[in-house]
Amino acid sequence: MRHYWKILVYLFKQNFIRDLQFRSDFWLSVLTQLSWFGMQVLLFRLFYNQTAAINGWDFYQAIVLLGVFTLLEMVLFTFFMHNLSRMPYYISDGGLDFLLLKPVDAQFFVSFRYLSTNSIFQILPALLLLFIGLRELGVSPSGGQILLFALAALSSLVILYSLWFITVISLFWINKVFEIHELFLSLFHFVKYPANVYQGAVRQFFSFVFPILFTITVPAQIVLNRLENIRTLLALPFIAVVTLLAARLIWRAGLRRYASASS
Amino acid sequence: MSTIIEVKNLTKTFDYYRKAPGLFGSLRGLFSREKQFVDAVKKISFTVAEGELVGFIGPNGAGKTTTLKILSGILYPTNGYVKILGFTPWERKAEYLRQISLVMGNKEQLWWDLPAIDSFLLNQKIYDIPEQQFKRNVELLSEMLQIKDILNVQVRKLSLGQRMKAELVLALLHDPKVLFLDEPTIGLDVVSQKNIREFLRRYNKENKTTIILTSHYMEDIKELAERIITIDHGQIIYDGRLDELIKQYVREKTLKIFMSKEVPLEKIALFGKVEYYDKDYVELIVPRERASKTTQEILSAFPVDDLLVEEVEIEEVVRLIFEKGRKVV
Repeated sequence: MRHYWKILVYLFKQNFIRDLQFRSDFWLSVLTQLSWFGMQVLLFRLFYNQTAAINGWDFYQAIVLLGVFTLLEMVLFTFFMHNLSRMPYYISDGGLDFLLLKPVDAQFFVSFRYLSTNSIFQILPALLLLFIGLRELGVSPSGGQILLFALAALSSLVILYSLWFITVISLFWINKVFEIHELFLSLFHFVKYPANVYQGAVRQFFSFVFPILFTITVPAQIVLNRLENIRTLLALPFIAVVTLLAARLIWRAGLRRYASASS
Repeated sequence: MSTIIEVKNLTKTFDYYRKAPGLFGSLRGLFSREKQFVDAVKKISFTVAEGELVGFIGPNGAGKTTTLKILSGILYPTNGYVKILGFTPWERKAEYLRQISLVMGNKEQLWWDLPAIDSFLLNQKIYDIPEQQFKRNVELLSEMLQIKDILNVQVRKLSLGQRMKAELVLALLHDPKVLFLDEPTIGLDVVSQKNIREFLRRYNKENKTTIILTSHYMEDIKELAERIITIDHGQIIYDGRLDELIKQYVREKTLKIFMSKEVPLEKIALFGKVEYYDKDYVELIVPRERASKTTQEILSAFPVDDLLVEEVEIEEVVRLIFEKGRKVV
């Protein structure tokens, strides 16, 4: 475990040094994030110009929800954006060769090799949203709530990572699709809205097939002190374990199929 | 010497889909495809002893790289048994991977955006190399390969030769017991090729590292490998000493004779098969085992200015083997 921690710390350092070399890349990503963030807030504002609440969520609660979404997205992007988007190169073009050669767990290495340290700055808009939302609502979460929030958020991150990972390693079985990681990212955007807006088949899909339904809503409900159903909270760590296990098994099966690329 | 690599009946079959040519074929391929199988490696068996340097030769697509990738744990075989240092490679136990290394001439593992030394440091963390050993190896290897002054330069700014040398250092930092080299000199200029060859020979001698090497440059094989394994269409067609191979395949030698005076053709034809005749210059083909005796006889019988005995080039030998495509062992 300490071995992996040491590697991760070093990878972080190395990627940070690497990202610092590309200043224009850094500023561009700040600019992109800011404009993206502005658009989101604007969109929410437009919704709420029409109505005071959407399925029981008022504007500032929705802002907190967006804050949680932005926070988790930040963590996901920092760690996995540059790694999982590489999967077509790894699997279809034989890039896995050298990764498989290392005496560390290959899934670990594939997932954490290239960190996107630029994405960390997205924590600022995330905290800003949480701060404004909670202040306007007059809610201040207790230490216990924050701890519970952290645990729920961690489970959510595991779920989101596992599903993203499973999506991209499908390349072991299908022909090269360059933008396969976009598939996950487009589905991911569904969860920045409250879980209860989804009904029927869509709800079933996001609960069982691609179980991301509660990943943002439940952590948000914890800090907002409006958790309605304890079962949704308990479901999170359970789904996390199941999806991570599935990711692991599918990865191992995939490695057996890995054909590298001829020289 | 103890056996370090044992391979028995190793087979690897790849499946792929055949696509009919053209747009129509591609469209039809969206709905129905024909699955095809190809044997990259067919039931090959061999063993390698500790400290041996074995050369793998064969034409493109013969199965050399596939074999190396199975031995280094990257690919699962379809069938067969492999034990290296007591491990089954494709189980990819950390304990095994720590003791081997693979260098591929056409693939880089150095990180382009950073200096080579940063990739070295990452490997130090991954292989858990003690500080002292790490420092010693970086020092020693970069000294031997003469790249000490470029370790702090961004990899993207290095020449191909410098990058290859840095790749070698990277691959050897953890003192592997078994080293797989897949075309380590591909695309390099003659000087760099020679440097790397000399380095490998010295490294193999000093460290007793077991090495399997593939190369398309026969010079590499001739200089480095005492034993060669020849693969074609996924099968081993020769396994043995390089000079034995030459002896088996090349039954003749060519004598190039420069005469000081014109010698009649019919006289010289008594000594062998005349390949070329031009009054005072003759090329004569004689059986290998009689070459030295014939040389003496010609020297005493004719006014000879100069005489050269030529071996067939190893490239030629290999071409012969692959053309005949038959088993010699």
